[in-house]
Amino acid sequence: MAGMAHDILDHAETRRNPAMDATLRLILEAEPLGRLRSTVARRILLPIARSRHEPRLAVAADHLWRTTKKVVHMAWQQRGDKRYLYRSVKHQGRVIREYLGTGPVAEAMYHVEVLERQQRQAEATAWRQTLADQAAIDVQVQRWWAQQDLLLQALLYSEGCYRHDRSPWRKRATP
Amino acid sequence: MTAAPGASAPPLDELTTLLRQAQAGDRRVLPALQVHMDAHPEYWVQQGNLSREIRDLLIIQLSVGDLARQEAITRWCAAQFQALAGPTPSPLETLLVDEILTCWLDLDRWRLISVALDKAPTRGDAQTVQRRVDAAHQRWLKAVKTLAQIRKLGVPVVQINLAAQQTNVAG
Repeated sequence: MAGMAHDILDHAETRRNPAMDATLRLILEAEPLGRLRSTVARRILLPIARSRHEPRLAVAADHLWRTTKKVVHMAWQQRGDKRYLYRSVKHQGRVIREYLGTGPVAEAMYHVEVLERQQRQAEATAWRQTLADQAAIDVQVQRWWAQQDLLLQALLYSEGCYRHDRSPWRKRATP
Repeated sequence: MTAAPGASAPPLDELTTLLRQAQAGDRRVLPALQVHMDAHPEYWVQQGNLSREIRDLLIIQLSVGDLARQEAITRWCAAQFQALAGPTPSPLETLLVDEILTCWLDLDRWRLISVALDKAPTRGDAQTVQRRVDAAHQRWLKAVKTLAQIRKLGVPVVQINLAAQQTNVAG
């Protein structure tokens, strides 16, 4: 799964977005005067423009973007008969690939990352199991609540109380 | 189906067999069980109370296998029941206080899970837990609100002080 995610991010990183390019061009055309304006364009308007286009990438890699933890994705890149280890990290809203190395050191780093990934997956499985167990109890609680609510309403109606349009319970005036 | 009048309750060994058969769905044991329940109403009072069953289930969940904790929570529930229901609760108040306590335990259960919310694998899982906490809180608030409304609607209790003694008179 991590490999697939890496492919998606890799693709997202290199893909040219015509809508974003057009917005950037507009910013540069509108703000060509002076260093201050260019700084504003680069530091304020550019991130805003980028954030507007970000959901498109988020849809493609939703299983990563919705992750609450900082997850590092490492992947090998094969060139000829050698392979090189890269790491994808997000920096200022963009995914950047960092070169980590090759040879035994890179193999060891990758091995550690695989172990950490397995541990994360085990934790996620345990969490989801706990959630499923509690949700099963919740079904019983909700069923009980529905029964109690019905019983309570029956008792209150039999006591001469009523509700008008979800208002608080009132007692009928005795003649 | 009613039990035959004058029939005696079955002995303990026979009752155990009857209960096993009843759990398996054997309808032939029903008359004998009805005789037993007529003789021992405490059985159906305990076993037939769904609120109690749900509350016991929640207490077991909250105590996480610790029997001392389980006993402490059970006693805490009994004390809270006394405090909320008062000395002479009406059947409606008993029902509502029961509801409040069960919802309270349910809310505590989800709160305990939400303590470890940072370990949720995805934001969606964390949101699911948060929604459950909110739902449990809503149920608890609704039960409390209904109890308050019922007490407001109910017969006012007049307190009469005679010398050092306090007497409550309904009227």
